[in-house]
Amino acid sequence: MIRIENLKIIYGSESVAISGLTLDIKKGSRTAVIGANGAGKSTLLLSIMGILPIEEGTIYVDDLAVTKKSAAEIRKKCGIVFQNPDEQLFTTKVYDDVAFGPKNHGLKGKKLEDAVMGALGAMGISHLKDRIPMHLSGGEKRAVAVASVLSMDPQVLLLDEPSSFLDPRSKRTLIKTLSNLCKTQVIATHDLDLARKLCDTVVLLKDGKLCACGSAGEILENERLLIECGL
Amino acid sequence: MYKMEMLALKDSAVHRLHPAAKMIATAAYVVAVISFGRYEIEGLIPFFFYPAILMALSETPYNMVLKRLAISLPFALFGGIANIIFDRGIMFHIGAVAVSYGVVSFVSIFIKTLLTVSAVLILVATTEISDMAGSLKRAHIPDILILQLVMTYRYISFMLDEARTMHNSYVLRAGHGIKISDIGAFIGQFLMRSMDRADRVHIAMRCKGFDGRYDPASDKMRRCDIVYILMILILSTAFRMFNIYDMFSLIF
Repeated sequence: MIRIENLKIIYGSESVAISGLTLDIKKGSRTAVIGANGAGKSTLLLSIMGILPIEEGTIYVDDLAVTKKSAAEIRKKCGIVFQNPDEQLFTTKVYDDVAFGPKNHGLKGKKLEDAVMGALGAMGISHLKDRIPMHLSGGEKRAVAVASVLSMDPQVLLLDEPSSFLDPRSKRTLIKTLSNLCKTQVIATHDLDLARKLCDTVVLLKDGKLCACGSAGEILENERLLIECGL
Repeated sequence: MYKMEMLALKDSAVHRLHPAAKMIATAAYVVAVISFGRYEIEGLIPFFFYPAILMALSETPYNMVLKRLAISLPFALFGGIANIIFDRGIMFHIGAVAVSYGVVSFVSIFIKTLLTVSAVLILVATTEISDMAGSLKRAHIPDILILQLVMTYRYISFMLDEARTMHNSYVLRAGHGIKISDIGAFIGQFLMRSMDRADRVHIAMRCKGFDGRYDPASDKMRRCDIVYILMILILSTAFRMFNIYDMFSLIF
């Protein structure tokens, strides 16, 4: 589903965020990208979305190379949920926020309403549709942020630190909801508990380089490796 | 802000009016009020009908509007005080007390501020910003302007929170308010944080396929909305054109 070949991303003029990363993410899998702060997790997600310029290498999403030209098409295939939902929810009503993406992709009328209500229903937050996003709790905001991406019906769901700002109950709800979604999911997190409960594959990054990649059990049980990588 | 937003979600005859009707009526009312000359006070008195009736019909708490009005009044006071100082000609006497032109124009500015700001506050308290955006779109206002309005409104409270967090962290460590020498750094840091946040919001919008077009939903106007606009237009024009006191004195 996502193929990354020898990726190099540079921030500013010289700071290398990711270097020599080669990775294969299978369709329908749930992959956790873990690593210490500054390991390149968020950078990887943003580069998949075509937001950050690629210095070297290539990213393919469903055999389509991520370039400036293909960015619009890539953003139909992939949806990203950011770490801070306040930065993702910018309209004045939950419904409008969830409708924002599909509307930009040309959905109108009944189809648009179905997409919005379907996404809200999948997250179990249909009752929030007329609320103001700013006034919701952390867990509700997170659920709306995920719904606002699900409404675009992306093939791949990218989540950046989805458990941040969540209390244990909201986290459990989120894990349950995400595990019920039949989509390829890439989750950047340093919440190992979330990775263990939700993901089948784990990619471990250190200083922008691939440190290990394998099944969740295999990587997450290797305490020495995790400590070595700053976790 | 939160309280005003919650008020806008209420259901009343005023809330149910079309947002465009309320915006046009408010604009007409504001234009009528500010078009009075600076010495015409008595002509402004009938205009108190608008905020009084709308607040009653929409069940908007008077104290909430008054509190917010209080924020704007210092500006009116500063604006009007110069008139008292420079415009000293005697206009009339109340008993032995001489009232100057400056005092009259000061009162006029004060009343105009009260009326216009309360009209806008009532509009905000009875209309959701997303509905206003829809109406502006229908009126062919450019997307960029509507988006600016919506985003500014959305992020005012967010930026206030940001400023409060910065202020708290400064005060807790410094043990006193912000020193003048630190204000530059404080504002600079605040602006940089704002830019950073704006950048991240823009990225989030681009990821959702945003390409500069904005399309908020809007309903069509009903007959009662048009009647409301006409009513406010007629009353505002009548109060502006005719001196109600003279008419009453002729009748009685």
